[in-house]
Amino acid sequence: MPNPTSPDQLLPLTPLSIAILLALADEPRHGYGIIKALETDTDGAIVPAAGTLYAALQRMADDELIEETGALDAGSGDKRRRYYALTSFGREVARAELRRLGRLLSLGSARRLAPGLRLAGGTR
Amino acid sequence: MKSERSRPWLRLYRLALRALPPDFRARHAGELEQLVAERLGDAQREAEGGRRTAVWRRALSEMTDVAKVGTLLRLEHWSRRDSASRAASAIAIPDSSGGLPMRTALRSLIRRPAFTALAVSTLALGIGASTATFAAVDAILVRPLEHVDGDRLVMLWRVIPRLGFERAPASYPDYLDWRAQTPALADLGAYRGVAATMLTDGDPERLIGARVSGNLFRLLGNEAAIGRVIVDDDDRSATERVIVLGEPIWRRRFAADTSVLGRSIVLDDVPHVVVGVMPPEFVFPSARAEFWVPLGIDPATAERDANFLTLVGRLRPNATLDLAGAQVEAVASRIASAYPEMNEGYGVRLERRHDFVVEPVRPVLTLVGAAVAVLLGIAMANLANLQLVRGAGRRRDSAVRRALGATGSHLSRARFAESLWIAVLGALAGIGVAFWLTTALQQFGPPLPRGSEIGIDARAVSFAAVVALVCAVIATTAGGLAERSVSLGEAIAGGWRSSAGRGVHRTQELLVVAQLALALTLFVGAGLLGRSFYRLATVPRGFEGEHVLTGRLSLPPSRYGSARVLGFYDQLLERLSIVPGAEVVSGTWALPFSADWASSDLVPADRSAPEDPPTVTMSPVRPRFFEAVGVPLLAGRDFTAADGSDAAPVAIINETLARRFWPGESAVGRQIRSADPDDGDQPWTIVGVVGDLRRRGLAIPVEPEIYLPHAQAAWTGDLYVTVRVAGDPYALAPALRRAVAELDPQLPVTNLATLDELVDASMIGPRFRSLLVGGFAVLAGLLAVIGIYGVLVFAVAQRRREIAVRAALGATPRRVLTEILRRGMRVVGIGIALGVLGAVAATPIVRALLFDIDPFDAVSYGGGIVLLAGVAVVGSWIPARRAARVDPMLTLREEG
Repeated sequence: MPNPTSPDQLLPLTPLSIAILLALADEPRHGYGIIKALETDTDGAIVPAAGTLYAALQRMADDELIEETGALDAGSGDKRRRYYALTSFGREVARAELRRLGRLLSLGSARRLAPGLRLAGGTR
Repeated sequence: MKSERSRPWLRLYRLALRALPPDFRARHAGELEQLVAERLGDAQREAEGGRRTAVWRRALSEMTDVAKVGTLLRLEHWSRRDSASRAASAIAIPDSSGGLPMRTALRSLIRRPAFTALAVSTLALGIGASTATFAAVDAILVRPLEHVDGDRLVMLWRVIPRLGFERAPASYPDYLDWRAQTPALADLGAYRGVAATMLTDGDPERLIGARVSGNLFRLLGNEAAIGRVIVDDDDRSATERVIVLGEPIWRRRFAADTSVLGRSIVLDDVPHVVVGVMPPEFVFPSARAEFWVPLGIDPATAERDANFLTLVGRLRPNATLDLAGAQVEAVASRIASAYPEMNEGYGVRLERRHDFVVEPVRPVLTLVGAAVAVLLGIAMANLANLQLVRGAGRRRDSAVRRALGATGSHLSRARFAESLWIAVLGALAGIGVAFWLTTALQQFGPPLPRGSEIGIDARAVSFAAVVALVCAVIATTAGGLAERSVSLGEAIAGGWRSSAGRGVHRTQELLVVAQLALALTLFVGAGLLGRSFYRLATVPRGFEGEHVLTGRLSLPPSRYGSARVLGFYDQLLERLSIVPGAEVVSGTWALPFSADWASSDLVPADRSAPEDPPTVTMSPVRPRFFEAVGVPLLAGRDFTAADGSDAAPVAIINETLARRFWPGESAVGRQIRSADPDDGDQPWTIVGVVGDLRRRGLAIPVEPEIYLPHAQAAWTGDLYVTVRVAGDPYALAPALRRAVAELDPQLPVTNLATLDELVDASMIGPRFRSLLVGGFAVLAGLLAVIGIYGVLVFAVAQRRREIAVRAALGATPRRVLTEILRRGMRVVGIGIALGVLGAVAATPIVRALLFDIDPFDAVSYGGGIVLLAGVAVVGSWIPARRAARVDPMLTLREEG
């Protein structure tokens, strides 16, 4: 599969994709771990079923946003667990997507569509 | 974590995983199972927390998810199997993975109904005509005769070069010799055609049948439909005569009743026991034969110079015709040396039965085949032409597709799919046309040998399919030529609208030239045959047959001696003469246009026999015969009742014979005799001269004829009664039947017809030929109009801009019109030149079928050329008008 030279070419990401990228941002996780992280992160709004999750993981791996890292914490005793980690390209894409979303958000605020929201820090 | 409750769900989930594509499943199945197990564990805890349905809800949603993801992944997988097809799918060439885009092609054809209808009907006409012809040729020429291993059947004839007989019958002793001494022949059978009167419960009926040797049915390999065939024992048995019936008579006279077996029927006053009925497909020796009886010849008394048997044999499996031919010739020379006086100057001829049956119709079938080939050629040219126009129209589209990555094979597959549809539709419609044509052929065509076997069967259908496929390939090639003839740059730049079409246009013009040439060939052929038919129909017949009713009587020799024959006919004609409406009542032994005639070599009695005495047709006639049929008496007198058997022999001759023997002098009072001095006949004194008449066919020249008084020449019990009737001739038919029945209730009246009807029947062949070729010529003309129309419409469409510029610069519509017409006429001119060559080349095919018309008849050629030019003008007119009406402003703005 082609490796797009610019992260922008993959934008916009699907809600699930960006959620997965975020879930993997601080540490590699296996499938169940990702689900659990999503449950917490999105307050249960984005909790994919197993098939959908793995289809998304496969596609993102194909696009080289994430990569398998094997049994990272072998100490946990779980055999043959497959862990996924963010690639640096994935990190870049996540940033690009978040920038895009940020612009949208500030635009929403400026147009008074999101009056209750105040950005923690300006994008620029 | 792995509770009891979730276990069955997990098992189900494992099954559901099969919905995923194999490679995905192989990669992730373990992880998925584990994840789902964990999720079900979560759900289990939730359930214990109060939500009872949590586990199965979770399981259900996981399984539907797998099904959904599986479907999506498979779709995605399939849609990008290779990277090239991605481009293709982007420009809407579905199913580019190797199959034919049949659905797209069908949609594309439906979007262009005019093109589709034109292409399909063109093809239907071509395929229909050629399939019907194929069916006829196949049934008559190709398929072996309907006997077991029919292609091994042979005919054995004697040849008598001195008399010009190529196929003469043989005697019974000769037959036995050949049968015993020809090892290459598995068997040899003999038969003779006979006519007999059959008496059953109804009216007496005259039937045609055959006397056959006991081995004949076995040799042919045919079985009876019910009962049995004639066998060797029947031939030997003298005690009981047997008869096998044909299917038609069994149906007609015995209501297809199987109890007919064992019944006795009277045939020529002799009772015969019915032992079998043949199936309808058994046709032997001709389609008219309806009964078969044993040969019934006693070998002890059979004479070697009584030649009346036709011989049919079967070759041994590995014997060739040449080998058998050599053997029968060896036998013939042995016979000739043993009986020199009887077999002097004879030869033998061994031929395949198939060739013998088919020979008479070969020229007609050749003509029909040639006409069909020409028509099919025109239809194919038309189809190719339509595809060219279509292809040219599709150029921009295809150039764009090509630019977007569609390969040449995509495009030709699309084209082929379209042509295939046209071929399939054309073949279906064509088979319908062929079915209709064969039915029409059987109803209105000439009686063809084995004509009843013509039908649209599996072979004919596969023929149609092959023709259709060939058409599809040709059309695809033509279409491809047009599409490929433009480069990408030209197409995108708009070149397909102007000069880039030149190559295509040239091809189109060539096709139209070919069409016109072929059409002209048919026009000329139709003209020749039509004029020939007209000449034939208007040739002086020498008699007036419209109001003459004729019927044939055949007195059985068993009950009528020669004296009683004359008495019977005297009585019958006398009774008829008082019937109201009967103006002149007479009769003849040999009616013109009937199958009966006799002849003899005659010379004037006062001269010694010349080297080459003329063969003169002899007809015994009753008094007033010439008056009855309207033959003028030119000199002398007619026969009267006084010219009886006791009176001096007298004769009347026709003009041709009178001129031949006594040119410039009166023939009346002269005497004439047989050229053979051994003939004991007294010379006949000529008492009258009558006008010439056509006897054996309108195309056959008048022959010298001599008429004898029936009272002095009642050779057999046969007579054609001829009655000149005031008004409708058939009004007299019941009276004729009644009069005959009063004299002899067992005597049938056969061959009831007017004399004109007999003449018409003789013209069925020529009429059919001229109608057929005429019909083909009309179709060809029609197709040629379509062809030239298509080319010019295309040319005008291409040059709209150019025409508009000219119009804007001051060209009058009239000028534009003439220019387009001139363009059309140039093509026509070349077509005509080639067509004349084609017609000349076809001369050998029509020459044999022409009567009194030169094969290079100027009227036919000139007429054909004028007609073709007219057709071409019709085809050019509409496009030329369209060009003349081009509005410069509108056009230039549109295309500017």
